[in-house]
Amino acid sequence: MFTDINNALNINTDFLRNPCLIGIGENGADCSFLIHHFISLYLKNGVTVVLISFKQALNHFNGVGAKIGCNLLKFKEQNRFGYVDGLRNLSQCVNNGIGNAAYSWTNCVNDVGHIDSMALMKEIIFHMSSITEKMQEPGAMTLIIDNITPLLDVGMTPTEVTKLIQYLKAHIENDIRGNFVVGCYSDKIDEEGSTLSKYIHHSADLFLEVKGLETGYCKDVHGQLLAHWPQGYLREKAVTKSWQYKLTDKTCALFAAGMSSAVL
Amino acid sequence: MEVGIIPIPILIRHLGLVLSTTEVETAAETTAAAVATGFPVHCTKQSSLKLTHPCQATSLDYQATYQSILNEVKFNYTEFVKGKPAYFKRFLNQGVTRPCRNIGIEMTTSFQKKARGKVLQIPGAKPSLYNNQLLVSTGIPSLDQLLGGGLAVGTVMLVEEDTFGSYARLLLKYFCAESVMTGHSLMVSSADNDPDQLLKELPRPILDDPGVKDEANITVGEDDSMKIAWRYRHLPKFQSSSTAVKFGHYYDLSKTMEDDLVSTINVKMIGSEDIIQSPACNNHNPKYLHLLKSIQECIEVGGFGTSATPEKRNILRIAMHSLGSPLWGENGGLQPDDHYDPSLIKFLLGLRAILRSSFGVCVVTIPTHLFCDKAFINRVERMCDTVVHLDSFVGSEREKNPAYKEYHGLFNIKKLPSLNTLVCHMPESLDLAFKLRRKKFVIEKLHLPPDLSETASRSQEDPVPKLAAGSSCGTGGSGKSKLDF
Repeated sequence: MFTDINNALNINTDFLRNPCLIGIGENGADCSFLIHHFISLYLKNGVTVVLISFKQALNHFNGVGAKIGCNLLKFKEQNRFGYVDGLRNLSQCVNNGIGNAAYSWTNCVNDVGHIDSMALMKEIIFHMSSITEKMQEPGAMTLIIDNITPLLDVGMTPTEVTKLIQYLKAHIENDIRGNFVVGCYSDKIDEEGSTLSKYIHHSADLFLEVKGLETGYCKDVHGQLLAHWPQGYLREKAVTKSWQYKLTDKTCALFAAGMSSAVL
Repeated sequence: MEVGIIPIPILIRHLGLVLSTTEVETAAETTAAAVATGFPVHCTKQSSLKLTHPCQATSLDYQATYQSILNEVKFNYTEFVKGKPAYFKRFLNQGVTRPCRNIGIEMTTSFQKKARGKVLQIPGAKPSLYNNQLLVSTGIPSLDQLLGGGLAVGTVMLVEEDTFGSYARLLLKYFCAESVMTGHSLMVSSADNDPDQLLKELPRPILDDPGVKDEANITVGEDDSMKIAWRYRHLPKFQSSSTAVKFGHYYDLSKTMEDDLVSTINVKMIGSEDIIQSPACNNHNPKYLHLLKSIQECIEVGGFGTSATPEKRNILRIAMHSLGSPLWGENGGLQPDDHYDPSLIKFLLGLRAILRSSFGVCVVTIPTHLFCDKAFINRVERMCDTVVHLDSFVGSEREKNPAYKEYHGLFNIKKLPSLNTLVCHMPESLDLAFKLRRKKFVIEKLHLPPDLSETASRSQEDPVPKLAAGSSCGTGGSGKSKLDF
């Protein structure tokens, strides 16, 4: 949990308990620090976390969690953290069964090789429920998808992926009353990817975008973080805030543009 | 931190290191003398020295140690001159790892990182200094340095080929040669050429093992060889420890590796005749599926999976030459009816998933310049952990550009992996270029030569086009601002 980000986004316990969808868009800079932030934020505040990652293996999350002070293995033993290896499962089901995944998603793929979003949603809900069953007392729950764009990359159409996100959002907000954090790539060049990220942007309660600097790589400022709160049906102006950030080994420092400690 | 401020002889004395010079005669004397007693050794050759230390391990804060040794040396030089062996013995157990390019020394250290878990000792692989990741060498020391020590085991490195593919092929040859030298198992696949051909063209390693030369020399002339270190003639010869296989070797491109050296490791080859026989399937490229299946079988049979427990752990290196070329049936992510063909992406996803749970490392070269769709290239890059791009000058107008006359192409690092850490290790500079000399291939920081033209009329155009900000790794930007941090 990075305190700078908590303060900047005004995250308090109300925010954590109310169901909402948080979208994270990545455009040129690595957004994984936000995923690690949310994992540790929810775990430290007593919310069960189910993480589906299509990008990295569990060891990576354990390693980073250890560095930022959140022992994922301990939470896993207490049944407060569940991990679904999306990388291996997805690769096995799209590569005709080649791979060594623990549980297979082969019934999500039909003969022609297209992934069915309903079937995939059922699998994900099954994983979530198998983790919540083990919880001693019922509590709030969060689903975090590290990055949803690999689903698009392996051939699902944007329509199918948006359907999946919509189903999951409906299930989580209505049945479980939990939070849903989705990461995606928002690249202007990739038409399908940008369609998907725009959909997530509009349907999210909070959308965070991580961008690179326009002037290129810099050692002291790693990128920009933009936060957008779309107001939905309220007729107020949507709020957008932006900061620049710098990552170190254990933490993330947020500051206003031009106020980097290297410059001051 | 410059090593040159202290003369080499003093430094060697203080650090008490074993010397092995390229001169055959002095090797025997200096080796024997240095370690046996730690007394000062006068070294006759100051250039092209190679120092090795008996105990090899890695150090986390080698710089701090090195600096402290240097400080001690400056203050206590007079003590050394008087010859206090106790001082040297202390330094005998310390060391420093630092490649010093300007003098040509490479020293290794005996520091052990305080590892929380058990450290896996596999020959040819070392733990990273930044995270607890096992690294292997790519075969090119300059590239290893840029990648933060080497390639992480369990990851995929993508090399985007240059227009004619020759430099990418060279990179693969270095990777395979390094596999032979470290004894790792190798798997080579190529549809364009015969993989056998690739293995016949590996560069020859430059070996200067002092142990070997010692044997040859002792019998020849012992009495007259020691002129300077004659006091140590009767002392036992030093045996350099061969338990630790070296990390990173130097190769000579003008000669090829002997066949019997290549045949010391297990090599599995997949050529065009193997993939042609793969059964057709309707949702995927059958050739990629066949290749993926072979990789998985190779890992299972060889015991490279993380859950397998063979008696001796080894690493599997996979070298894929020109994957995604038209001979693999790839058309830039498009099927004949212009629909999206995700086969290459699926293959790369499967490859990464398999490698994450095995002791394997893969280098793939893909001719991305043949793909029309830039979005597809971005997707391919996203599927791999380390991405580099070779941009050679051959055939373009930059070849005649005087600014680039020393180099053969630009080397862009597009993505570096950040495994088990929040931040990935970034090299000092991202403006890199490569050059192919007669004997070696080097990647270094792009140095523009000084503009010494005295003519009054200069061309209006800037000789070096602004390197696009979008090509820098970690951040991207399409703005062409003159501000460059």
